[in-house]
Amino acid sequence: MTSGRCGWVRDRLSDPGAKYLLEHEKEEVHLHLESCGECRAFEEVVSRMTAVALRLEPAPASALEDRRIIHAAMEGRLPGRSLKREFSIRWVVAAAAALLVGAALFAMWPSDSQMARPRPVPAVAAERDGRDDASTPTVKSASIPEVSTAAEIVFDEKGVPLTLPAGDRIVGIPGTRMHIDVLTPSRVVLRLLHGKIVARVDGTDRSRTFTVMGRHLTAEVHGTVFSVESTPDTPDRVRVLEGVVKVVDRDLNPAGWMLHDRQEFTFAASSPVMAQKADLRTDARLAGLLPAMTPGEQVQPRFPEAAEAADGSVSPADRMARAARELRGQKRYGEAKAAYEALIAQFGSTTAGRNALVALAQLEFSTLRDPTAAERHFNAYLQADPDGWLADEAWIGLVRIYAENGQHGRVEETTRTYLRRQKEGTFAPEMIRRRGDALSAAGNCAAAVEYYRTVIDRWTLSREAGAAANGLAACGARVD
Amino acid sequence: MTATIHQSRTAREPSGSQKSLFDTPLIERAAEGDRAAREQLAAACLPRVRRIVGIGYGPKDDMDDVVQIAMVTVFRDLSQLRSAAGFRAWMDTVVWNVIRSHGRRRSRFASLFIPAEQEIVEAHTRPMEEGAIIHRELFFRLHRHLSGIGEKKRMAAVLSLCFGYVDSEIADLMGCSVEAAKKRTQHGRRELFERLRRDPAYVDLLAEVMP
Repeated sequence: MTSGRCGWVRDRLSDPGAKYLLEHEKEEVHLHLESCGECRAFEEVVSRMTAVALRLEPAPASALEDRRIIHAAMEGRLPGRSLKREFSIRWVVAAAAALLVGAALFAMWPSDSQMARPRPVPAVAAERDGRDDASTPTVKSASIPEVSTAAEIVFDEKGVPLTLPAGDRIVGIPGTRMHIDVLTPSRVVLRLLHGKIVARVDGTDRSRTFTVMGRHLTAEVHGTVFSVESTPDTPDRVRVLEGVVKVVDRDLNPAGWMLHDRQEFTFAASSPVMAQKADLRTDARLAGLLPAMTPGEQVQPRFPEAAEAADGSVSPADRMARAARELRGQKRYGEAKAAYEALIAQFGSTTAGRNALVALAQLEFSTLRDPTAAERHFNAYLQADPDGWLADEAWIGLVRIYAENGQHGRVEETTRTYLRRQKEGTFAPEMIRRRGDALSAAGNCAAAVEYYRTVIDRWTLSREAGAAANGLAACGARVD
Repeated sequence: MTATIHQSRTAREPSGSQKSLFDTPLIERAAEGDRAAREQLAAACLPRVRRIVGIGYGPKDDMDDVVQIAMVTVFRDLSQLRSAAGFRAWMDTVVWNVIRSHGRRRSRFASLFIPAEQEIVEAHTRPMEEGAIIHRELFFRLHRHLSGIGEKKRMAAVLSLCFGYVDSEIADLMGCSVEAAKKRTQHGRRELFERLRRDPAYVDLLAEVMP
């Protein structure tokens, strides 16, 4: 128990200016310390801590992470997960703009008889409704070969799926209205105006992007089956039946949340809610109407030339990338490698050029068995575009290379860096499992078991859970 | 104020190459928008920003985000720097402001993905030398104790203890009177030391580091 004198002494001991105490005060402190064990212990902590504190440092980050932050500082790019200061200001501005637009629309809104809503048409052969203005033709739901950019789709008949030229399939509940903003072989952007759709997307070509925009949310799809719902009365909702979907809110979280199998994401009035196990019965019934897509199936666009011409934006770099992909598909690996290298040499600073780095690295690692070159190209991609679309691929590529080479320290460092940024990333299960492997190889089985169990608990039915169970068994831990 | 700050700051000048990286001409060129100078200055600033965030904000899952926000803010506002001589103090103020505002936002908007504590610890640690382990453990425990202290007292104690600031500088950074800064520092340090003293593991670790 401390006396009143102890408090006085400890105040003096804690004060950084105590060296300026008067002589009689120093004497008094000294005498008290001789007689009070607790204050002596306190003084020991003070003196040791004062000596140590100036040298305390957080764990250093990797050189790559430092490079990424410096790059972001130069570009003025804030992290995706940060809730920016501009957030509230932007909402106020957005609300004011919405009010103005709403008032203007209300004043100009035609009467019911004048309203030209898209008219559902029975599902037979494809046809366009030329009643609306030419830029937004309304197309009925069906397999529509000539569906193209700026078309508005109305799903009027439950159970008739829409097949896009690249093979993606979509079905909507009756009354669902959807607008096709972009439709090229490499990029699809759909805007869900009202209702609900379930989509099955071909994920074999990882350079493709498939995006569905709701009122608040944007779902970027990585080859998967998923549903998006957006109606005025209910919050936007995304559910994942298979695979992975990145859900993005441009204001709250531009970097996005990763959703895996059976996860549901609901967003209403800036309050995101994520459910780990969604009730998928309704969506599964709808998805059952979609034809299955076998792995590797790639439906050729029926009008590639038309798409290219209509788009008018297929750059030489994109053409070279496509040629390289085709060569790779034909198993002409040497030529594919040369094509990728030419693309990188000519268009290294473009997105296609950067993406080619990853494609080339994957080819070198998995097919040409040249891990050194693959590592160099993965690293080059991460240096050039650390937050790029293919960053996940590059990270996992590096980890696989290190794991194959038995460089457990580097596996540990790389997985740590990845998991620090992307705890729910596409490759999080594999990263966590491989981190467990690295720890296990380093003899730290206790920590490895924690990682293995995390994978098994969170991704129970995945392939990684099986690998983690093997790791657990190798560590001598019990597998439940 | 400037004379006092400058005088006391000389004691904390970084040594070696880092000192030259904080040269006035470099800061002036960076403030004028010279890209190469900005990159050089950013590389020089990053370790200090990381240390301030590491100690002031703590080894949380979004620590790197705070470092990034702080760096972006520093280099976004660099043109507003009035004198290159006061760069370091100005930068520290900006970083502390970022830490404080981010901490408040974080408490308002709970993170969707809160990893297990073990994961955070592992995410911010390095393998595996003996000294490094003790050092890391000291760091984590220090942060745990610091988080139990009120914000103002914590900041004052950290500035004084871990960065060697004197009262007038702390007052300047925190925007309060020197007297208030002195009281906050004293109470913050006392509270921290009391907490550390009651943590036997910490006392043992300290004894290992400083026998």
